[in-house]
Amino acid sequence: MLPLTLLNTSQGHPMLVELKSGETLNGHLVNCDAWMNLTLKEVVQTNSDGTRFFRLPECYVRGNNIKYLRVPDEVLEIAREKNQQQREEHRKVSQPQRGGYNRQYSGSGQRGGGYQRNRGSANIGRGGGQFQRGGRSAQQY
Amino acid sequence: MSALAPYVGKAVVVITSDGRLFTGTLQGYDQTTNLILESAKERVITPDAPTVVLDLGLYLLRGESVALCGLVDDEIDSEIDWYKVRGMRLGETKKLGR
Repeated sequence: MLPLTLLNTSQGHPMLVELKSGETLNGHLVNCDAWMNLTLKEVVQTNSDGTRFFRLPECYVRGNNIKYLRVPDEVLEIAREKNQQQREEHRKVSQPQRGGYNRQYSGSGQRGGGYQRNRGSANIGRGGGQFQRGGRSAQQY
Repeated sequence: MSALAPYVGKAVVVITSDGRLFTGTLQGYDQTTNLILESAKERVITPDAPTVVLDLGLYLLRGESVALCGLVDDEIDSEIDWYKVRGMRLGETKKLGR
């Protein structure tokens, strides 16, 4: 699983963020992006010695300042389930195109599907023979 | 690029650039070496006190702070009594923060 998938799944969950400076932030993850930039709410900020605490209603963290994130154990399981669901949905979408290898790559929007027979003499000399992938080149000529 | 793929699902030890040592099960990684460590533990090894093992849970380490990720040999690891291990504190590989 990708670390950023886990991070995305952590939205709405509490987490501890340690920054490179040693400061820590405890709060609920509101939002995150591909650079690991975060917005947290209801934050308790602790200085690097652990001696001073600050409460912030909300804060934004630029991803490059992060050393690590500590997230609740259950988030991993949730992320796994989400991953699994997405994979199944993806399969559902792509299944109707059985044997659709040619179709996917036919780019022209025309049905490229499968083996095409007898596309006419125009095919001669195009190199594709009867196993051309795309519909367009065969039909334009 | 794919050098970490064989480590996924296995016990690993990670040394961070601030000289800390983590162990856990590698559950994922990406191009920037961000790592997911499940059941992460930190081993605090000091010169004159028993090693402390901290149970941390699920960790996401940012790639920038990863110095090393090594595969653990379970057989050898289980023979080590970490409680008795003493050692100098590791330095950092770079000046973190400013």
